[in-house]
Amino acid sequence: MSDALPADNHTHLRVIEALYSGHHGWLYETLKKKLGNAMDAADLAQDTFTRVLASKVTQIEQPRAYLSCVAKGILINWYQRKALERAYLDALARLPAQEVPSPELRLVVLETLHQIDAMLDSLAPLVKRAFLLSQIGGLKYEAIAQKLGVSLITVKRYMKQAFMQCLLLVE
Amino acid sequence: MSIFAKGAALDPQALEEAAEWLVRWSERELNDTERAEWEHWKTSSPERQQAWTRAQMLQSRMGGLPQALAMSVLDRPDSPERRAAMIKLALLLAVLPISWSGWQLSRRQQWTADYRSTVGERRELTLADGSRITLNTDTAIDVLFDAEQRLIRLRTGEIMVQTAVDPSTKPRPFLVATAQGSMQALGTRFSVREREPRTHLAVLEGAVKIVLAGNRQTQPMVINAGQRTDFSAQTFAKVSPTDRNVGAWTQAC
Repeated sequence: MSDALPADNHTHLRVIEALYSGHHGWLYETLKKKLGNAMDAADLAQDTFTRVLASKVTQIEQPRAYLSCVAKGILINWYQRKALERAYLDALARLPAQEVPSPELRLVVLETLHQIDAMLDSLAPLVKRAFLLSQIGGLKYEAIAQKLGVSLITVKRYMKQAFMQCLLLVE
Repeated sequence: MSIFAKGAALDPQALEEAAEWLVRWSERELNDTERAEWEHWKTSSPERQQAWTRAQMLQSRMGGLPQALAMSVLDRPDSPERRAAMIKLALLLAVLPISWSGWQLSRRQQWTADYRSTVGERRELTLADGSRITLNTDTAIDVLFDAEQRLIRLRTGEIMVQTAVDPSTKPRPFLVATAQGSMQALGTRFSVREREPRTHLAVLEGAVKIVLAGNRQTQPMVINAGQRTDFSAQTFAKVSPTDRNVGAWTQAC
């Protein structure tokens, strides 16, 4: 038996259809101009519409303004991902040859790093730093407190805050 | 079954408790008493069980990463492009309560926004400099703010403008352009209606200077408070006193 669709699902799809046919070309051109790269622009335009599709929105007053806003958020993630990839390649290049992971593993690690990076993104820099020093660096809380110039209690507070954030966002 | 029933909502209390256990686990190995306490905690309710399942997911995600690699990637400094994009997003969000107004950065590094009101709709905007614009029915404008100017392009329809003092260090002129000419606000409140082939201007406060689009030889004309005029791309009409009802449309809801 088929699931009952929410009543306004058809409205949602009609809105998306109109949005796509009316403004996809414009969004693509705008992104291409900004990024100077057709392939990235096509990907980001697609991501933008995917996000809109997932949003269940049923009424859009100013389509281009709305799309710009959604695209802007996606663009920020994209910049972040690019920066992460660059840092990853730099780090790989500095590793001794025998420690460089295999190509498949490299991709898995990159994907995992990206997920963790996204989870920690909204944390304050010190909180993020404390968390990384503990969870990746393996440092004791006392050592972290000393390194960051904060009290032990503060480190524990940071850790709890970071863990909360991760537990909410982990998938 | 509804799709909304999938994946019960997370219990914040249980998540917080799980986070506290994770903090303890990361500090040092738990002793037998503590371990028994933890075993009891994580099986004592479905919410706690669910929370701890997420904790395990997190641990498996974080564990097994090559340490040096992960540290240098995750602890990298924020990229300048991204920071710039974040600032732009913050600016964008600042205007969101008024409308879903989008901003895009063009090649000339200027802010561009398209605002539109539908037939029968009236829309109020507050721009980045604090100026307020009310769009009458069926109106479209572009907002082009850059280092040199604050330019509103009125494509069609009617707007009421209340300018604000420019917050930037080097004050920029505030201009409204139509197909027929451009109007420079001289600290002011005024309304502009573009109705091909003429633009109608009425000034309520301050003054506005008009430059015709199709006839640069003509001296610019200054219209003062309480005056109105209309103009084509080539010529001005006579200046007359404003109608008492000018701007009345901005009061109606």
